[in-house]
Amino acid sequence: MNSNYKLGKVEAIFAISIIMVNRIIMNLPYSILETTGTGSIINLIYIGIIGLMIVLLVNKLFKIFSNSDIIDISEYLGGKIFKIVISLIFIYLYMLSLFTTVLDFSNLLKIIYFHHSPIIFIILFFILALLISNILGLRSIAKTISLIVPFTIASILFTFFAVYDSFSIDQYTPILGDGYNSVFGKGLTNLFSFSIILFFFFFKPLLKNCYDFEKVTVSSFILSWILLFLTIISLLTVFPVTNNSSNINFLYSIARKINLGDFLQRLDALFILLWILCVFSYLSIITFIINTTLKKVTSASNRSMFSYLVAITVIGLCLLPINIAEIKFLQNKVYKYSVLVIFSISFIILVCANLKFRYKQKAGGKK
Amino acid sequence: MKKKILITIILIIFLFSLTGCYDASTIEDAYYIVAMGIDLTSDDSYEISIQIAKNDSQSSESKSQSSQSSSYTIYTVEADTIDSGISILNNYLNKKINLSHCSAIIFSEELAKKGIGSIINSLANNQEIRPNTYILVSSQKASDILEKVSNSGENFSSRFYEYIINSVNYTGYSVRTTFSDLLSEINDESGDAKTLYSFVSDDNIQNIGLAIFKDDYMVGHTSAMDSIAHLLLTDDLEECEITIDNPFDENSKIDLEIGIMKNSDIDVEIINNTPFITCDIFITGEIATSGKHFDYTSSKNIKIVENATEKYLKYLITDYLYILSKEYNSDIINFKNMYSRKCLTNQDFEKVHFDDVYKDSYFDVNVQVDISSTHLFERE
Repeated sequence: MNSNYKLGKVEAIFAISIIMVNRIIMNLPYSILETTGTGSIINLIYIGIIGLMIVLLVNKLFKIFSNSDIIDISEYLGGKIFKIVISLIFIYLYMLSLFTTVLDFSNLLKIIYFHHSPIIFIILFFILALLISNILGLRSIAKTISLIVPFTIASILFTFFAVYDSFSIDQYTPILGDGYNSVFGKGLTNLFSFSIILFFFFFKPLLKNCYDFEKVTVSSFILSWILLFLTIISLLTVFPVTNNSSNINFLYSIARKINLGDFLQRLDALFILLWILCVFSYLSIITFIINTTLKKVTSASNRSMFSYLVAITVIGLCLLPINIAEIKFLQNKVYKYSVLVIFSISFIILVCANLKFRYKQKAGGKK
Repeated sequence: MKKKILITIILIIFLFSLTGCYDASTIEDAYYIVAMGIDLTSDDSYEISIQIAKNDSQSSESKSQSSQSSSYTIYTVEADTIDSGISILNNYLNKKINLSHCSAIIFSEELAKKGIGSIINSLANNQEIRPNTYILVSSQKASDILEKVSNSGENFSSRFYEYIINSVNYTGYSVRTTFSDLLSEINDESGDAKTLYSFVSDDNIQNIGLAIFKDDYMVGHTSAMDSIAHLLLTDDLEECEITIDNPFDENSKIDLEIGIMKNSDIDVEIINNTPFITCDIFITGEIATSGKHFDYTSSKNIKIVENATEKYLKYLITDYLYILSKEYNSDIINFKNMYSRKCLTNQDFEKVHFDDVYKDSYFDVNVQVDISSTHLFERE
């Protein structure tokens, strides 16, 4: 079903942005605040600039590989075995993200609305969503995302403006948090929050026009940065770093506090509905990328059949006896460092592939 | 064809999973708590009182006339923790109690002085509790407030506590404290908490002054006038009335309605390891009553009233600030947080040891009053 569907420019920007929106919903800002505290604002500007430079560099490195993703490039660089190794590394990262997201969000829904329902029912709904959307294909995923992303972005903006009254410069000071080293040294690990860059490596072949790649990556990066920045400001406003309490989901806690007079109260119910759709879309797009990778590794003709495999694996992983602390550890530590390591590996692959291409070109020219 | 089969399967799944009401929870299945009072018993466990609104249709003892109003019942149990208290109540009543419409939580002063941090954190974990639930500290038993409110003779409704607390808007005699404010303040290292203080007398209750906390322990309470000073410092005063000595006649008084002209300007400096705190307050006022003889056609006379008001408020605010720092050592204005903007890093901030030096603070309060109106009469 629409196996050759290609994404338009806006669809691609939204598809990448939904990844950041989802990370924000899944408490990414808390992880940043934990590392840099009140220095997070300066740190975000700092890592934002570095991130943008990386995006521009990635664009430059991808320029010579039209219609190729990181898997094709690794095959070009190191052959089939190397391609399989790199594919497995990416599949590990995406499966980690997939099952921790399903478990964490299902847990949140269970706490808020389905206190007496077994968590497996909630998990199955998400599995069902990723399965159906991937069977229907990229077109349905892209159209759904295009519909949901504007509303979800609007909800984050609304949250920001709803806490506008409580803004005080004192909540963001001392502006350098634990010091220069914390913001500019240790704070560099916050680059993991731009894990969307890892998704750029897969998007070039999915675009209708591969020349739009640069515009898509830069636009989605800037949009993601703005959303993250606004959320961090909202969080610091409502939950100052000096506050010892920690919520399981900060955005939900802010949403609970939003009151617009007597008429609009408890907007969290509306927000949760949007976030459920957002998580559905996120899981669908991740599964799609895993399917694409598996298709390339196995040289299979149909990518959607892998959806069953992914769905069953995720159910299996979700059934592991993992408690909420372990999920948080996987999300905040294992995922964080995995992103940084895998990004470094991918970057080295891209540089080496470019060098190989130039060397080959030179060698061809000499002959 | 494949697509049609898939859609049919999805529809069938949805048909069974999204419909059905075998486990539905309706309004008749729960008792909705309007207010909760928590007291301390002689053996240091909690006495939890809940006030339940019963719909007219549900209750045979209905006496009220308003469509929003209901009859009420108060139940009290003793328990070691709040959650076990709620469980006991659930067991005792024939319906599950629901806290999502709880409009006020009242603590007795005795309990507040022993610390309410664990109770607040325990309630915060209950997602039924609204963040905008009001918090009160009662001078006597919390259950007394529930009784007095119930017997007030007014038509009782779930918004009754809101109406009582809203008087703060036009009297300035206390502050409006919500559950999320208190939760945040109690867990915040850079400031202390305060709540509305309710004074219980023989036959009525009055929201008067603030209950002052140090960490999660109540350390004292202030007067109604102190709460006006507090609202002026935090820019939260909507309007209130103050009475000052008449500068033209020492045997009479002048009433003024005051409000905030623009946000106060507070600056915190550390000089010789002592906080030097400058507060510039900008107030607008209207003369409500001035006794028998007055003449405000002259700017000079208005200026005299302005100066007298400035002097009065300066004394009121300075006195309040010294009570907070010297008597209670409680930083409910958040001066510590205000000082943080002067520091570049946390290390610079921590070097000051603000919590230790706060009690030695020196306050310089400057009040600027601008009288804009004399109401209907300007000369008598």
